Amino acid sequence: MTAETLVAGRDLTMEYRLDGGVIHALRGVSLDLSRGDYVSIMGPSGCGKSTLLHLIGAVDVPTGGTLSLFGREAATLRDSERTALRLRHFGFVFQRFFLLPMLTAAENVALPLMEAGVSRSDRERRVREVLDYVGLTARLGHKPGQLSGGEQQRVAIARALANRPEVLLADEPTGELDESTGTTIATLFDRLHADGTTIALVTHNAELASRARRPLHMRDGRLLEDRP
Amino acid sequence: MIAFLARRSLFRHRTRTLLGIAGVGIAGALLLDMQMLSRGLQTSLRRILHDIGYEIRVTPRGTLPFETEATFPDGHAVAAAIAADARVARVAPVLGGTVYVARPGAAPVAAFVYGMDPPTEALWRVSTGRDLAATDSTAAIVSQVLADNLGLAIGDTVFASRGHLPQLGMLQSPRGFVVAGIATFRFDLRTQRSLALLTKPAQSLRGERERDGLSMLVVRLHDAATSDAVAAMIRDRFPTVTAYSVPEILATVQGQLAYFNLFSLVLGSVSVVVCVLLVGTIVALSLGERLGEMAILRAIGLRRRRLMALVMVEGLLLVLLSLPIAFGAGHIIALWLDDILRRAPSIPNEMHFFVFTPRAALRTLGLMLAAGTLAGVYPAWLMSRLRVAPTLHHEVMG
Repeated sequence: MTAETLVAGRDLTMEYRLDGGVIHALRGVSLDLSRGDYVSIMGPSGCGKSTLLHLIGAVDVPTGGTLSLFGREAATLRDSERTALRLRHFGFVFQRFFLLPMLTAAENVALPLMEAGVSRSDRERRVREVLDYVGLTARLGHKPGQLSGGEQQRVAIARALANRPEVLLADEPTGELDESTGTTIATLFDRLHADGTTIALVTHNAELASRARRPLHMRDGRLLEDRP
Repeated sequence: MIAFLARRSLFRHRTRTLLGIAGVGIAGALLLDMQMLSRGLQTSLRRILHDIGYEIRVTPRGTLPFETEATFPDGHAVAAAIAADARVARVAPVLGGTVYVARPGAAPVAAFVYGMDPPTEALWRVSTGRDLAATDSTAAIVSQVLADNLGLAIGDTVFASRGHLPQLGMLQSPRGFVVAGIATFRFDLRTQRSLALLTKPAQSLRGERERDGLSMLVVRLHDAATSDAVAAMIRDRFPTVTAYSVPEILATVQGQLAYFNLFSLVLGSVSVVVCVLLVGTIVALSLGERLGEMAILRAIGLRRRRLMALVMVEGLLLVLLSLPIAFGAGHIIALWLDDILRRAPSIPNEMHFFVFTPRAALRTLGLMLAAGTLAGVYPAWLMSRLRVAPTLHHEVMG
């Protein structure tokens, strides 16, 4: 692992035990994510893309293999340590936006900042900054129900960026958007990457995937290319 | 942040939350009422006794004040002996018992006579006219009920006697008294007829003059803290009487009212359980609808215990918001119930079943907050077991 490597996974496996038996979501996946990377992962539904993204983002821990997150072995991290990693180092964007409907755009974006203990004035400044970055300064007082799908996703991206994460993880970020809006989001990811954010995204959108520096493919819990 | 999120989450479904708050408020109102009832009569009695202002009551051996019409002999001698104690500031004799009273030409009616010497008056409050003076051996204060029954006004003469002849509708050896004032008697029942005289005329009416019989002595002390010790001294020294300090009277009365405590305990417990179930259901339902949001909050870095705290705070917030209803409705219901219960026979004028006290308020507040906290435990436990990745997966698939 070089100094630039932020995430390093080796032979990662993930198994879910259900009543009907064991589901092998990942079967020996190895993947590195270095600073400045822009990785996209494509593959059919159920191939393990989202599971891999959750492992990279410290949302879950693998059942096998080794996973290093910012130099720390994921299996040894307590829940609170993984939570702190997510807060400080990762930003998450999801297909369904998952904004809190009773909060305004600004309040949604402020949540991770509040959790990080950022002062009110710094928080307000940062919220304006990131909403301006995604082009939604005029909508900061609006609630999700008053925003279009594309705007909601841009608010979700702003929320993911609030704590200046080193890695932005996106799970089907254009899955609920029309083509034109999807292109807007894809362009925003390009800009984020150009500005220095490391990005790993999972998508069915070939156009979005093709913009990544490292387009990867998965099938049946295995990564088809990219052997570190 | 937790309070902010809890408030916003609760009012996401405004109508449901307001209905829940109303429900918790009504349960809280019942809880407050039960707290007020559990010690209401005792508190009411304590207030009257403190208002009257004597620390010790001396009664015939084995009786509570005015529990019977029993008297003890040599009353003024006992009073003088007690007054000789350096800790005692003042001793006042009291006589009480049934007599018959009538206006000239009218049929006699039964009434309760109080004999007390001024300035010891504290068992009644004069509303019209004046109070008795030390030389008013032929004056009387009558209760409003007696005045109404006999059509008495200030300056009228009322006749009283220990006995009467029912066949003739006449008093036996009546004595006349001029009505000096009309008063409210603190311990009178709602329909009770009463009159107050000086002690000696009252003793004459009741036939207690010879043996100097008295119903009670009220004793004022220089230092109220010595009341238990002085009461014990009186009990030891005078075999014909029993002495009660105010706390001892209250303890005795409380013992006799144990069923009120039990009643309020049962209903109070039921209202706490209703409160817990109501708050718990609302919070658990709300949480069930927001599992995806909770998972996303965990994913973006909110700590598990913060979200558990969020759930607990939502429960507490429901309770806090219901407090105005609990205390407002509780007061109104208590007034209503008190009015109903006080219509029962044998309830003195100034006694109340439901009495608002800081203790009742604090106990209600404490129990409601405890209920809110308890109600949040199960949803918080559910929250603690939330698995982020499967929940997010389920939300996306759903």
